[in-house]
Amino acid sequence: MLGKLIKHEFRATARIMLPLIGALLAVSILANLSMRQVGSPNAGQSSVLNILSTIALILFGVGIMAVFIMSIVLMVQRFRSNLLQDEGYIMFTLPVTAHGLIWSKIIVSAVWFLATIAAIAAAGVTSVLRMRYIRDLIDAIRQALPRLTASQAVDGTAAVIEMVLIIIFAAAVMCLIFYAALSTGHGFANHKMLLSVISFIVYTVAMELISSLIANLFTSMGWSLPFYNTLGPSGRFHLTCGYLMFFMAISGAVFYVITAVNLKRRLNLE
Amino acid sequence: MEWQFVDNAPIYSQIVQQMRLNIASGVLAPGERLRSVRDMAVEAGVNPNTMQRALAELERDGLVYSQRTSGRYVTEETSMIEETRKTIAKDYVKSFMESMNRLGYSSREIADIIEAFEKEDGAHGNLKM
Amino acid sequence: MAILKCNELTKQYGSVCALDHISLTIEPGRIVGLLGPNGSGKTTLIKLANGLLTPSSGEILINGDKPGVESKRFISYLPDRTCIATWMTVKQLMDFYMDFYGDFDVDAARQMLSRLGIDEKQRVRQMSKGTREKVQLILVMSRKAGLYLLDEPIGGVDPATRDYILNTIIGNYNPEASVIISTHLIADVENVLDDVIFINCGQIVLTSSVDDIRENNGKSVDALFREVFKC
Repeated sequence: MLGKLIKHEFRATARIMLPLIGALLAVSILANLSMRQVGSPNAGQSSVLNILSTIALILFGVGIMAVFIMSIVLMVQRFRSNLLQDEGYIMFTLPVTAHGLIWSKIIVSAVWFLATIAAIAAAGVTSVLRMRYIRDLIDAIRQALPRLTASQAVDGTAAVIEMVLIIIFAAAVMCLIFYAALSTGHGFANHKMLLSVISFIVYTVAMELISSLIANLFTSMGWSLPFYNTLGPSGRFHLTCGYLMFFMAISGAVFYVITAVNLKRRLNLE
Repeated sequence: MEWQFVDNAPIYSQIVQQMRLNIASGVLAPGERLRSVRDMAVEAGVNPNTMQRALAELERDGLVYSQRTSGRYVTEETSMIEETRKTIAKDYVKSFMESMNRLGYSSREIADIIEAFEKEDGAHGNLKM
Repeated sequence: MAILKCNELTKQYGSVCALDHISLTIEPGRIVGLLGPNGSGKTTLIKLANGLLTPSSGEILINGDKPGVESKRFISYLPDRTCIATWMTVKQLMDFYMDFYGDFDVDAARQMLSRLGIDEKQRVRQMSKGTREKVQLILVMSRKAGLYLLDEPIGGVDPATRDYILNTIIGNYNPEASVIISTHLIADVENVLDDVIFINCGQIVLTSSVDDIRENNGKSVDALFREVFKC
């Protein structure tokens, strides 16, 4: 059933995200042409073309922001309108568990976050693209990883994988903070949205407090731990990544439990 | 078929009465096949269980019979239909007489009134039965 | 086995008691009217049966199961409002129901939709309020479920739509299944009911068959209701 939930969640979100990403990529091609115009030696000869180019570049900036903001707004909006408002009557009477509902939302949102990041990166590359840049880029990447390994004594490939994992974890945790806050606020009879915002602030502050507390603890005693000093820079990098993922997994789990309990025990559809 | 229900009697007994009337008056012909319980229930706007109960009662009385595979039919025994017709007629007369008696008319006077009524309306050609 | 069974079912919202130790049983093949004034606990009872609320105490069993995935497969529920997503087309809605409910009879749904002249490519957003209500009802009634929970299906619709809704309910009747219709508009539904449950202030005031009420009291359920709930 999770597969079906994910399928329908994609169907509901793709109709907004795909055109937006498509538009961003289209604008990035325009931006590419504009930059050639602005940067070309005969710039300034045609003011109309220059104005158009400037507009295209502004559009490009706005487009990047729009896709980024939209993926977050959509994540919040889907959870709220699909589960906590009228559509919730249908979703919560489907023969699925609350866990299935939450997971389908997390997975689909996380996929869109990654797609957004990829789209923005692709758009950025497209906008400055010249044929020789592609070769440069591939060369740069090819040289960067071994250089990273050499200079920092960090395994470049492993580092990239860790970074991607951290992004995925961060996306999931961000979803879950929003979900926990929304489900807490909407469990009350009145002022559902206001109480959701307050819950969001409380949860975020709590997470910040705990994370800085742990960080302090780590700095005050962790650095002096004997095993830490035996680690090289590479080991320290992996340790930091591991710690980040561990912390995010724990906080994600806490927010997941809050969300699940709220949806199961405190569901309060109007 | 037109269905009309009043508030103070169970629906199923009103269906039975109206079906008896329809059979006696020939609206439902002898041997005619009845539609399914569900269709009749939808038409009358009543619960299928109610329709089922009414038809079961008609079946018990012999006005309707069911064939396992092909459905329900109005009885073909004309003597039974005739008998039903007479029973209904008797009921009508009975309630008519009661009403007239309450108005203070004697049986003899009632007969006169009917005769006069027939002459009058018959002359205008209005009497339709 | 009883289709629905409540034992001492209680639901409190804070200090307010919405349902107060209710016990009742509904057998298969019955069309039951859950009748009571506004705020009497009808919707609370239906939401508890659906698992949209959890009981404060007591239990509710659907076909022997507590509300959960099994009971949700068994129940076809019409909420008291239109909840179908407005961006979807009728076709997408049918896909959705087919994916989640194995008992969804898509041919039955198509037949009912075409009788109303509703195009499958039409989006819910483009429909009138009345049409949306009908589409939602068609989706709910196209399932071959064991228990239909219809919350105020005829509230605020015109007489022609009301007749359509009631005919759809009767026309889809299945002797293995039960239907619970919650409403305060009794005169409109009483001819289609087998049994009635009068509920007021979270308590059951009366349970009876409609025939018994008419036979024993010589009056309609509507008249009796007005008497029982006289202000």
